Formats: sequence, C-alpha cells, structure tokens
Amino acid sequence: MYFARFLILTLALMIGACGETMDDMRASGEDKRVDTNTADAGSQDSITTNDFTLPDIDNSPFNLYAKLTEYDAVVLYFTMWCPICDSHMSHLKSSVAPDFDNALFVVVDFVSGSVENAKTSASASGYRNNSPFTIIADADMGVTNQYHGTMGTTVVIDSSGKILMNEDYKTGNELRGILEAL
Amino acid sequence: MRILFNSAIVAALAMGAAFALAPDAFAASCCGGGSSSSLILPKFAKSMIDISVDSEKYYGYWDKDGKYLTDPPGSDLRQYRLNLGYARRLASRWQASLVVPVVRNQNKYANSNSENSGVGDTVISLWYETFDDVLCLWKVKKLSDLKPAIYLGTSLTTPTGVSPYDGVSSSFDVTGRGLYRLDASLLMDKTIYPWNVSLLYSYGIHFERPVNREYGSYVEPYQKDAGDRSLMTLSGGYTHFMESMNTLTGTLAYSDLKENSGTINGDSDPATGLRKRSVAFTLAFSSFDKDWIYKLNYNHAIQQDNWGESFPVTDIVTVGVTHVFR
Repeated sequence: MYFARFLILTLALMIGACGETMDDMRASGEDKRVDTNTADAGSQDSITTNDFTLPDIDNSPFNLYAKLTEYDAVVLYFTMWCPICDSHMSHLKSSVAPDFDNALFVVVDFVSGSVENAKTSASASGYRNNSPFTIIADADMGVTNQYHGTMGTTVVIDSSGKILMNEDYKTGNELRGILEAL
Repeated sequence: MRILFNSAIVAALAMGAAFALAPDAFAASCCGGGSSSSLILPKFAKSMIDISVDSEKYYGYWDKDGKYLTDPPGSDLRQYRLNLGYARRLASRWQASLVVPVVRNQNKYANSNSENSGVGDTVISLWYETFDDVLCLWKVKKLSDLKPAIYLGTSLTTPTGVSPYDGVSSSFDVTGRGLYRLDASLLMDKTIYPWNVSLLYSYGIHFERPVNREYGSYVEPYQKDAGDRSLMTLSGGYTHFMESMNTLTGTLAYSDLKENSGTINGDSDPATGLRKRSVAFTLAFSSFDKDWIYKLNYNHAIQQDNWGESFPVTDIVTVGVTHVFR
C-alpha cells in the first residue's frame, strides 16, 4: 500500500509539476499546423528567404542568392557534429545527394564558432575531402536563428528563393519528394 | 534562441542506457537478493530506498560505422542525474520498484553555453524471484549449492521527461526520449563468498507513437518508433569482510547495449540504431547488517573504434547510498 501511494504521489507530482509531460504520455497525432510562419526566414509554401553570406571552411564567401542562380535548389542541413547528425549526413550523402545534381547540398556548422574550428570538425568527421557538401560556418548563429535551425533541421530553397521545406531530417523520402518535384 | 544541443538530445537518448549500465553496487551484499545491475531488494527485506548521483562527461562519439570521433573544438558536454529509487516487497517472491531521475544538462560549445534541469523518464519495474531461500553460501558441498538466484523482471520506461516532441522550443529543456519502452529481464546471480558473479540480460520493445510537433513547431503528423533494444551485463565481484563484519565489495562489469533501427511511418529512420560497450568498476561499502550500502561506480566507454555505434562516448561516475528496511 505504501508503495502504491508513493508511486501515485510521485507520478502525480511529476505530471503536475511539468505540464509538458502529458504531451509524451498521451501523444497526439492530430495535425495542429496552422501557420508555419517562421518570421524572418520565411515559411513553407509562402515566403521567400532572406539572403545571407557566410564563409565556407576554406574561408571563401558563400552567398545564398548567388548559388540559387546556379542550381534549381539549395539544401541546408544544420549540423553539430553529433551521432544523429552523422547518421543524417551519411544518409544524405549516400542516398539523396547523388541523385540530384541540380541541387547544392550545404552543411551549416552552427556550434564550432569559427571557420577554423568548423574545418577541424569537418575533417575529424570525414567531410573535409571527397564530400558532396559545401560546409559553411555560422559562427554567430545568425543564419541558424534565421531559419529557427536546430540539429537536423533541413531547409530546401528553390531557385526563386521560395522555402519548400523547413523541418527535421527524417527518412530522406520527404526531401527526395520535394527535389524530384523541382 | 532555439538551439538543439548535442548532449541534450543524445543524453536523453542515452539516459536509459546509462542508468542500466551504471551498476548499483549492490553485488554480494545480498545473500540471494540484490543485484549489481538493477534496483532489486534483498531476500526477506521489506523495502529499500536508493539515492544516487551520476556525473556524465562526453568525450566524443562513435559514428554509424563504429569510428570514434571527437566532439567539436571548444565543447564541454556534461549531464548530471539525481536518481531517486524505491523498491517494495509485494509478496515473498514479488517486488516492485520505481526510479525517477532528475536531470541537469550543462553544455558548452565554442560559441554558446546552456544549462537546464528537469525530470527524466521514469522506470517502473516488477520482479519475480524464482527461489525461496538465501542462495549465497560460503562453501559448495553439493552440486545443488551452485544453483544461482534467478530473477525474472519487467520494466516500463514512461516518458515523464521532456522530449523533442513536447512543447519545448529549445533542446535545453530536453530530458527524456518521449517513448514508452517495455523490457523483459533475466538476472542470474551467484555468490560463493567472497566471490560473486551475475549476468543480466534485458530485451526491450518501444511502443510506436504519433508525433505532431518537433521542438515546439507543429509538423505534419507521423508515426515514430524506435528499434528493439537488448542489454547484457556480466559482472564479477570480490567481498572483503572487515573485523567489524562490515564489507567492502569490488565489482567489475562489462556491458553491451544494442538498439536496432527505428522507423518513421514504417520507413527506416537513418538516425536510429546504436550500440555501446562499456566497462565499469564499483566499490561498495556495506554495514554489517547490510542495511546501509554506500557505493562508488565508474563506468568507462572505450575511446577507440568499434566499441560503439551512433552513440556518445561518455564516462560516468556514480555516488550513491542505499538503505534497506527489514
């Protein structure tokens, strides 16, 4: 009886103290998307992205709008060089990027804090050479914040600057679908 | 600021593993009860409180091919956990336990810092003892003396922590994985003083769940499932009896944790699937009546290739105390 009371009391306290808890304990599959407006970054199917320029790990400037004139789309993947990022990037590299020469795949390092550190991280992770990715360093996280980016956030921007996708990388199928429709 | 920090998410992922991998230093204190791997009551004890603090530091990770990689320059990722455990005997062969972790993440990257705290995922367990008498002994006189203490258990991990699929907009607040998991466990323990050996095997399945939100943003709903998980821990210990009959027990353990790939809407999720192999050393001081146990545990992940896959490389130091009520 004491155990049961302890169990009930503990769970009640946890649930009561943390409203977010119930979201996972009673997960919902209801589509609650109303407006995916992402402020200054633009949103899916609606807003044109702002331009930005960041250095790549060779210290050359990467300008988004300039690249959009060369490709049908630019794909941004936000990395922090972690196990999940590595899995995503490996999948992106092997299963998606080879099929879309008309798209530029760009990895945004938003944790290393400098071009030099980003270069070190890319080398350590095996993406310095023979990589299909352009790797850019978002030292002050301005671009990351612009897209509300996190680890795994994947953004697809078409040649007109329209944001076609801005969400976590999942199986790659959703990304392929968007790129195939270009 | 909405940032997803490495350690926050992987720590949430690792939390269940870390707890399972951190032996509770109860080996050889039990005489047919207790465990080096789980919160299990000694035979005939009524209840038990177990409080421990984990300090976990990150030293990089293994990629999906098992290659050891370091974290980005300038990063210092740590997680602390206060584990509150309570076990209660329900019947002569039945016992149940509850473990609630309180998690604190401290993450430093070259260009940012973060700290956050919260309740983690809660584990509720039920164990059945296949024996009635104390099975620890000093001397083997007949073959049946070699019979081990066997426990059969089941545990439910409940997503009481805050996961990426909650309403949080920052990974600073992530303290749980967001999935239910049901484990079935087999624990075999044998003590022939002063030696002890135990084997724990657990197999767990996650329950598929709908997701309609990621880091505070509603997304097109999908079904998410993590892969089945198995854990094997083999440990061996030696107990030194002091003149006061207090005991000091040293235990070495080896653990192998594996989780298969999960799915999103039935398709393979490339970011799932993991493996971690680690070693641990535990030193436990027990009072002569074995009612109080003080423990120190060091869990070490080998910072070399092929000791894990898609998992952070961490070392965990655990300090804890257990009090048994007779």
